[in-house]
Amino acid sequence: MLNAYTDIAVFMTVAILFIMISLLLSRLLRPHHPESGKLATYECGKTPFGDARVRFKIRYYIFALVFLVFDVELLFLYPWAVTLDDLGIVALAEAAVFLALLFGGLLYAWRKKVLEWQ
Amino acid sequence: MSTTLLVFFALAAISLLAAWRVVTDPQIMHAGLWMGLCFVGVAGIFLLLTAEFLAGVQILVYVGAITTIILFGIMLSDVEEVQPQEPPFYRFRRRFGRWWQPALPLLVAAAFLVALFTIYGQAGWSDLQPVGPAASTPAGLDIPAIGHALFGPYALPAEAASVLLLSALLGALVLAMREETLRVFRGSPGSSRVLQPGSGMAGREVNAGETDHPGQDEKKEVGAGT
Repeated sequence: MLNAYTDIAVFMTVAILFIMISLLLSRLLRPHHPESGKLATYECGKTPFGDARVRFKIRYYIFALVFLVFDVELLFLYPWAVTLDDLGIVALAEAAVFLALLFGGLLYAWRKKVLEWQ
Repeated sequence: MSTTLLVFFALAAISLLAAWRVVTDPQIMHAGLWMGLCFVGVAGIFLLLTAEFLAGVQILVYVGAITTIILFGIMLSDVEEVQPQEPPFYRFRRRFGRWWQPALPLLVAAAFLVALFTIYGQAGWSDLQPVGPAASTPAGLDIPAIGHALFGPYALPAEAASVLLLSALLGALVLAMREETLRVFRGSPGSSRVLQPGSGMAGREVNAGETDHPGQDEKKEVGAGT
């Protein structure tokens, strides 16, 4: 069974093996002379300063959450779009209600100016 | 051993290894990425069960969005802040020694396992009919069936899911607006334009997402309104 996905499995295996083999080969071939300048974090040619782990603004999280919400909404709409021909006007109304609820939330965000970047 | 069983064991091994690394990796960022790999393994198992739509959902939502959210959450928090000053249940542990440390998780895991098997036992798996071999049919066979169920008999739960999503959206907005209120309270620049009843929606539409620097948006709004 699942012959349709054998291609994907083979593709993934080859991709992973390709990375592993090329990393292994380059490790075997390259010279190995570490020093502090080489081991330093590359930061566009400048000397790096501070810690890499800085605290990001919470706004990024808002956009990630909004993305997640509409991502899940899309998942509901995909089977709906496939079966719309069979289900007819009722499904159209259901999807309209579904969308209107979330669109109301988006409008609210818009009016409250939460979506602006500042 | 059939190929399906072999693939299942490989996927289960990947998922379990990744899940184990999530809780043991000292780098919290790596732990988040291991969680993504665990989700990929679970997606493969869904695929083995011919639940193709669910596998797609797993990749799209869990690997794509949830992992991103988790990584964002890590980036948003000061890791030093998260580390507790003293280990949890410190006094309890000092008093009762260390014997309960492996015992308690084992107990919880065993109880969870028993609960899971009880629920699974009631599911009536023998009544289920296989949807059909996914090999001989084009991909996405189960999607029409899901669509019929979702917008037929299960229309109300689907709408309830919309309400759930709306509440998640509003929760995110409340978080954002609380930051906004804090800024008003501190009186930093840009706080004066948080709520402007005078300007119309058309001006805000153009404004959304374009204002990188506070102070420029006043001009932009006037320009967009004309």
